[in-house]
Amino acid sequence: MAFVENIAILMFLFLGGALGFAAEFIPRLFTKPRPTPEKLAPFESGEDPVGTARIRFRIQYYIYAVAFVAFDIVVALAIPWAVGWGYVYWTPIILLLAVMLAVVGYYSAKGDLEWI
Amino acid sequence: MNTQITLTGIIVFIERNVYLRFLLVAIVAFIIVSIGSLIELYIERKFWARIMSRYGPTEVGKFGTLQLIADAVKFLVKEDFSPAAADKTIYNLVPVFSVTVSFASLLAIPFDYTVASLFPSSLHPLTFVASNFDPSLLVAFGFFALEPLIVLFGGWAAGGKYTLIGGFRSAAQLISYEIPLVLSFLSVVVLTQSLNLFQIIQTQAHSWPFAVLAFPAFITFTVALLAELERTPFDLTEADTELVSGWNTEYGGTKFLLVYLSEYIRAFAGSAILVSLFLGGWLGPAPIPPLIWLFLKTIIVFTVLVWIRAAYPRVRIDQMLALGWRILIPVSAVWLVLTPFVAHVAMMHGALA
Repeated sequence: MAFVENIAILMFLFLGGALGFAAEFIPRLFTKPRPTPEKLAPFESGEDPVGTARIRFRIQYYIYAVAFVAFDIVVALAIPWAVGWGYVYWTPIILLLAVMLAVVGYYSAKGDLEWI
Repeated sequence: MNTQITLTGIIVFIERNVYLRFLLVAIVAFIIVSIGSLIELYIERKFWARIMSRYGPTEVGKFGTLQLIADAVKFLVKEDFSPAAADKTIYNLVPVFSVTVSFASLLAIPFDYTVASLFPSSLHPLTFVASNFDPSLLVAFGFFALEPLIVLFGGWAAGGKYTLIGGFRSAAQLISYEIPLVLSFLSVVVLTQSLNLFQIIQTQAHSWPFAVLAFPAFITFTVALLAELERTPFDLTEADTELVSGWNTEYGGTKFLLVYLSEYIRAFAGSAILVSLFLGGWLGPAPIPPLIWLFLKTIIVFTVLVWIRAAYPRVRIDQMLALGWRILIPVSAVWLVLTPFVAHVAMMHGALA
């Protein structure tokens, strides 16, 4: 990847960001906020909001996240193999994918992938 | 000194400056995606309505075509507010980030090549192409996969319970469908031995469409793409019967407009990537310009997504996670290892160049 492609990425990010920023912040100059406590309260189906939204979340998300991080590295290692499979040994990538599938199987059998 | 300004002169001036050149490419991509998003929105409303025996928009403009403009104007003149419980900085920046990242994933899609090929070849069409670089597919997916993270930020920062649940679901969806998505597009990479979307399409000129050669990968990619785009049957992040409007419940006015726009830009980019990887991109049997082919195929794929949305119920979160981990990951991983053999057999029979 040469230097010019970085400029292309930069220009796409610049244009998207500039248009998004303009679309969000320019109309604010023409509208007048009239806040009321009810308007600024979080929407909870018309009831008065109970407590805060900064709640603890389920432990399952954490288990999935750990598995994802490990498997994503395996997948990232598969990318160079996919480009040059005619020139490299296949053993490492087949082993890695097999280990990944074995772990998914173990997770499944152990019940950690159940959403309780 | 010749001060006469001609069209060729302007084009040569832009061509010499690399920043202006790629800014022009980005503007062209933006125009294409804007037209695409408008068409998508209209198809979504009309086609979906017809499937459900409704009419959809009819009143504003001929066949309701101006309804989208009316909605956009309504969003633009609305009052701006941030909820008291929100983390103001992140809450206000998430729509901007969302649009930026969605738009940047269009970089790798060869719309710029198809536009450049409309012009006479004396202007060196390839100098105006930004998408023809080596790991363009990886760059596109890098930006494509950032969106669920932004959804998590937005859901958390808005300070509502519905938005928070929507954001968590988005993170879970990213985690479950990222791996099958990458493993399925790697099958196409195995067939072409290139990470350049441009070359992947050119290889399909002399071979069968990869939707046939890598059929299981095509299916797993489509399912994983549906999940990554957060469309029904995987739209758990904005399940409107449970979570009001999901992670964007607290967004209003222009912020909602941007969030909504980025959703359709992503749908357009995702359909275009699917078309480029599996359905031959700008190639087609009839001699019409490549731009029309690519655009038409993208819109047709999007129409199929709308059809799926109308036809299928939403899955539960446990069903979604089970589908991702127990079916899609094993199928796509096993198929990836089998693909080199398929490529070998296809090359022997002339089905792959």
